[in-house]
Amino acid sequence: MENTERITQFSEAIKSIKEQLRRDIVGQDEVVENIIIAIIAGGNVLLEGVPGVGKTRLVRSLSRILNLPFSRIQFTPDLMPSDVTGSNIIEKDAEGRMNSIFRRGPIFANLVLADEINRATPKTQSAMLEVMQEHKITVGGTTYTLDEPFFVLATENPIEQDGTYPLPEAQMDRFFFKLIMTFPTASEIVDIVNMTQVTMGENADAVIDGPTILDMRDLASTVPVIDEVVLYAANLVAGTHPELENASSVARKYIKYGASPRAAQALITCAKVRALVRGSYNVSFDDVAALAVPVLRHRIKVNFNAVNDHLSTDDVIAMLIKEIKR
Amino acid sequence: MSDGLNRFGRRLMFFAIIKSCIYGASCGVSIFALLWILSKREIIVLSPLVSALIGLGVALLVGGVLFLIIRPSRRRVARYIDDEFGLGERAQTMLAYVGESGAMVEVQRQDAERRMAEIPDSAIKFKRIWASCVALVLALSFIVCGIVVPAVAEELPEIPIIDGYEKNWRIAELKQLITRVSSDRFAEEGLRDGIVDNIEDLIDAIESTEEEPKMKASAIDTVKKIKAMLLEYNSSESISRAFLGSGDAVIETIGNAVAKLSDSTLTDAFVDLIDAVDSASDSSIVLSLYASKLSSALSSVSLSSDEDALYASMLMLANGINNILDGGSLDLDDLCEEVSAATSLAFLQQSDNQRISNIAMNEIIRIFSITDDELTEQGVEPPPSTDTDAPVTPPDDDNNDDLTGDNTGGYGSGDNMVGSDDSVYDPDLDMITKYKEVINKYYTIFDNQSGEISEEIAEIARKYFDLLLTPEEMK
Repeated sequence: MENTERITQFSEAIKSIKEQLRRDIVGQDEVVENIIIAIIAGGNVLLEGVPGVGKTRLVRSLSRILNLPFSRIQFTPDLMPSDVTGSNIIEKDAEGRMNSIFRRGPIFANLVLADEINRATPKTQSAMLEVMQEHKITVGGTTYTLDEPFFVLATENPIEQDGTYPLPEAQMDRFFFKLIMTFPTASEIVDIVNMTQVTMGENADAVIDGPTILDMRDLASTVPVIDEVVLYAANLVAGTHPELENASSVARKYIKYGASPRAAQALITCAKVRALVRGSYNVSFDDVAALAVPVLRHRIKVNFNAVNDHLSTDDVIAMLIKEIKR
Repeated sequence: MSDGLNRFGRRLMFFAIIKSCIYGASCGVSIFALLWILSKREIIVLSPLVSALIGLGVALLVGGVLFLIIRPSRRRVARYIDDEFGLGERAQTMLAYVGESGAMVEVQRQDAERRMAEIPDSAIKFKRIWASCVALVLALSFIVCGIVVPAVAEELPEIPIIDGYEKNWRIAELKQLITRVSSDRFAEEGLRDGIVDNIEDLIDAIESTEEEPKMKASAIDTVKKIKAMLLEYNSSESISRAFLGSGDAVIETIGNAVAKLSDSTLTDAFVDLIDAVDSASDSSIVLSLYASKLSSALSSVSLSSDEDALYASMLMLANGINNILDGGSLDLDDLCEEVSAATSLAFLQQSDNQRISNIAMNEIIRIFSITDDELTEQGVEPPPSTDTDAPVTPPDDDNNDDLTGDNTGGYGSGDNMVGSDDSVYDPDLDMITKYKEVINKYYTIFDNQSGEISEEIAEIARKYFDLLLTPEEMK
């Protein structure tokens, strides 16, 4: 396929995804764009928002658009790891022999919605670690490789913290982005109400498929990026570490611990996709800076100084972006 | 290679050359001007050519170094394009991937080229043009300063200017002095006329200028002329100089008396002369010696007895001694008395001459505030001072005084000097004193000695005092 043709298809695909998502989701443009970027980049996304802002609907709609096998796991405190991954069971065959066979869990899908992921116990949450990073599952000594593309879209509720288990840092690091779904405005609520009067179901149609997504990912990976931009991304990540010798003043003052190198990887990978999504064929400083907040906000922990100064994690990251020179 | 980058590169290179030239030239010109100014002010010693060469060197150095610093490399050009025109690192990415193949790289290159091609040449601005202008203006300012700042050697001294008020005051004072000199009844008329002429010449001279140095020079010249005139009219100085060079103590004492125009000193000298003759074992030899030395000293003075009374009286002494040696009727005592009487009148005349000359000279010195140093510099010995109450500066102009009038209270036309507070040179005391005191002293001497002097001399003296004293004072 001609390169320009692939790029054209990429742009058209993005445009189609956005159009279809707008049929089910009102507003949340930034969240929508960043989810598309994460999916094409092959990363997982943690969606945070109060109940009713459309987290689950967004993921369900996305599964329809992408035309991929979709499964939803409602995380509860009594959810066991085998409930997620699947387990070996004893089954009698036609000849009456007893065989141990592996019954696949809901994780065996291309698009997995981990709803209210913080309600499951750490034991169950950790069952997601390997699958999110390696796209593989090991059960009973046997490793199963998941079909590509594979995404985990997890949601969590910032309120109602009783009976929840905050995700461990290691698992947080597996998410490319943490996206905040803000509460809609009054006019948006009106649109939401009108949209759901006919049916509560999703209306989006499938516009692309798994191979197309993989092709788009492959195309995005070839987007050129200069060393200065990579260095900028690295400096942003390193700038979150207060323990480093040349740590940024923001980190020294407001950050308890910083992001892992995975953050820099995520920044550059997603920046490449963002450049293409925005009609550019190279990564710019602006691409990296624009993605710094969703990439870093769940990977760093602010200290008491930030709390005392009424600064959120996003505020601290914004200060960091201002401090780090391009 | 990219056409867009080349296009930008050429333009930025042109700007860099221009900028380097401007800053280099500005620095060079500034350094040259600075060195020039310092040389002119003699802070350093450098010829203009050397300063220009140093300036040229600085210009080349600064321009060259600056060009090396700001010359647009391809990376710098790409960065400039991205930053200046918001190309989102397109140009830098294109440059970084030069030589690499790949579909996306090719698309990116085309995209970057297209974006750069959309930027017109006119959009490529000469950055910070104001800084270049400031550098040029500073350099030009330095040059202007270099032109304006005068060299130390060329610096003209500030000429003190006398304002019209003070000038008029000086003229008024000089006119008053003319009146005072011309109305003097004792100094010789020729001398007085000469002094008046010189003062009038001085008035003419200061009327033609406002510059203090010129006025002072004219005034000092006038003082010099008056001094020369006094020497012309008064033989005392030439005679005394001749006597002082005789090598004899008695004759030198006579010379001192002549110089001072002092009767008493002369009397003392004659007493010494008589004592020397009387105490000698052979008086004729001593007399002969004195006659010889006196004659020799007088012969060195180019005067004649017809013209000068003092010279005549001194010649009378020398001839009288010769007469005594030849057996004449007079003895030495009588001779000395006669000579004293004759000398006294000459002394009186020359004292008056000296007095009026000194008054004129001191007045001119006062009016023009001439210091002794200024006189000495011009080879003029300061005249003996005369007491005066006249101001050394013009009076206040608050009441618009008529400066041409007589407003000093000094001696003027029609004034009677007797009893006044005016000053006069007293040859006996060798100092300036009140005229009243001098005239009274001489009158007392005259009155007391009337029986001892010849009737002829007494008559002359009487007439003299009659001239001075008012009828009331006569009584």
